[in-house]
Amino acid sequence: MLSRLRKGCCLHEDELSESILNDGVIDVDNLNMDDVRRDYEKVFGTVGWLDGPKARSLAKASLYSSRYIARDRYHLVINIMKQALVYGPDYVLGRVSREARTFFNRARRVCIEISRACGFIRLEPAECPAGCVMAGRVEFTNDISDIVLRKLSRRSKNAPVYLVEKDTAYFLSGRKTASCHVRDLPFDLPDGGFSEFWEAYYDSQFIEGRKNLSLARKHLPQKCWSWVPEGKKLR
Amino acid sequence: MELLDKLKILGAAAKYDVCAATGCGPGGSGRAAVPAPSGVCHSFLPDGRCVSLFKVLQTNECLKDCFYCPNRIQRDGPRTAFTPDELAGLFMEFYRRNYVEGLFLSSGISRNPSHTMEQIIKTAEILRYKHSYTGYIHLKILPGAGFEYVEQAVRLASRVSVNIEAPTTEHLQKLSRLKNFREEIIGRMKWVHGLQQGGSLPAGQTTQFIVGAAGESDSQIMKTTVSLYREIGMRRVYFSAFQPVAGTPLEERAPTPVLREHRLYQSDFLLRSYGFSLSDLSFDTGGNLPLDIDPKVNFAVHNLHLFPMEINRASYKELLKVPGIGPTSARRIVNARRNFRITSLDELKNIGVVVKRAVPFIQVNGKYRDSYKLVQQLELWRESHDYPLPDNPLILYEGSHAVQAP
Ligand code: SF4
Repeated sequence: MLSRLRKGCCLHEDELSESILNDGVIDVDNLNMDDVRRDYEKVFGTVGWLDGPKARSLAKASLYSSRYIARDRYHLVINIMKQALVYGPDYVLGRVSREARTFFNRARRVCIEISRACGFIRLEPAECPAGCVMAGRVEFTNDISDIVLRKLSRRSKNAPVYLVEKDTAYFLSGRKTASCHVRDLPFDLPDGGFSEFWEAYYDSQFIEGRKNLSLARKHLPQKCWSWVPEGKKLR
Repeated sequence: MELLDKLKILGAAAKYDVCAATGCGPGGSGRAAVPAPSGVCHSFLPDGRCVSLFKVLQTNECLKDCFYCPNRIQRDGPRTAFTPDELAGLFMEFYRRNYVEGLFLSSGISRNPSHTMEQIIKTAEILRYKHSYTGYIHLKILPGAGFEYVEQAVRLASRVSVNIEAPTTEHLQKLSRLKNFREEIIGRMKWVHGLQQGGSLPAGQTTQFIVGAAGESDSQIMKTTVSLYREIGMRRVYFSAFQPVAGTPLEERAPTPVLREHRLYQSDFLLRSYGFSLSDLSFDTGGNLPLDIDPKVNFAVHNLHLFPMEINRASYKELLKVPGIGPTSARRIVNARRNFRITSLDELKNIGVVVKRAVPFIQVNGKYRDSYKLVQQLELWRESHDYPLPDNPLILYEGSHAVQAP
């Protein structure tokens, strides 16, 4: 709800079933945020911090935490919002309660996965009738395909990005994320034709005297080895 | 020469340069290699360093004679250079495939500094104007580069750096007969500092020490580091543990332990982010940071009179002096206790404090952890390092926490 107030993530019907003020189903897509805010203030008094940076931090964390794959993910977000309204945002932002810690840990793990994905996904150019596109294979643990797609699209201004997870391809259609079956893609998935250059560069950077394979494996986890040509060198 | 062969040679020649994204963060050796806050790591090398930037030389031809460097003029080996077009094109191929996040471009000095700087600047111009690349570019300013080249580099780059290599003129002389500390290095840093005032260079200016090649001590390095931050507005100082290279005059010298580099980074963090001053750091009789103890714990055992610190009362600055508490957890403690009294170690753990480290030095809501083991640990630290105690020391013993000496 807080995220929605701050125009962060969108919580839909099933996620709102445990909302703090909920006594029935809310149509979130047609929600008037001023009304929601007035309802909150009736229960919790003036919530001035909703306009400040603390609410923004909380909204951002709730966006990421709600993308963590766990059955209680929305329940936890709602609980945290309750704590923020009752004890103040610092109580939650300071991770004083166990729930707050779990909430931020989940947000952090999702952030780490996003950051790893943005770093380790390799894109290859492919030609399709509309021009050049960049495509890459992915495998996510959490629900982050749209976030990663947007991030990668931002740096590939001239060529649309396609992310392929198993049989599904994700791409941006206008401002929305769309998906289709891989067989319906208007191009063949490219192979890593440029990896020879990358491997040559990668090999040139290693300093023998500082070898620390376990540290490298810690940062480039096994799950990502198949994404990058150098993954086999960390075996 | 084929582009691939050039890449192999000029990539390898740049590998000892440290940049934001490849330096170890506070996690340091054996722990986490933390990338720059805004950096994305695109790979990790078998040595655990992150690859975020395409780090390469424009050319490995060099007129200088730096005793540690694989590119020095007297050393045999294949020499080559990228043309600006080749290098810019290659970088863009890496960038669009998401292999790297930005460019770190350094170079040997072929013919003269102006000629090489011209090539470097041309490469950056091609990227900015032909490829419309708006991302991160770090350009190296070559020692002895003319003012007009420094000016152009500052205009085009996100960050520039001039490597200082050693803390004083005398130490630099042990590393090179041809480099001039005051004019070629400090002088160029000052130019950059002046040019930066106009608002260009969003990622500022940085520099790098080669640690352990010139027989310098950590205290000399840290002293120069502090002056660089204060007087030249340096954004970051990097430390690169010396590694001997075959075929150079220093090939027989033992490599510097990576742990020494790590201790320097830790101390640098204490100075930049924890409000420590140079006098808060403790060096051994040789002027080096002890390798077997973290500099912050070292500070704490030298200043036992400051502890135990009550978590609900200590100021932000005081909290930063406690081992196991960093800027983030200190800020969270100060914010949380506005509406809430911290009463347990579990709450501190939730906040992000490394409780195991902090517990001997703190009180929580008037209580301390009555753990003989931990207190004893303090005693052991003190004795094993023979640290001088303050005039009126606090003694620690089983069952008490900190008691004034009779
Ligand atoms: S100036 Fe010195 S350190 Fe730089 S490339 Fe030349 S020899 Fe190496």
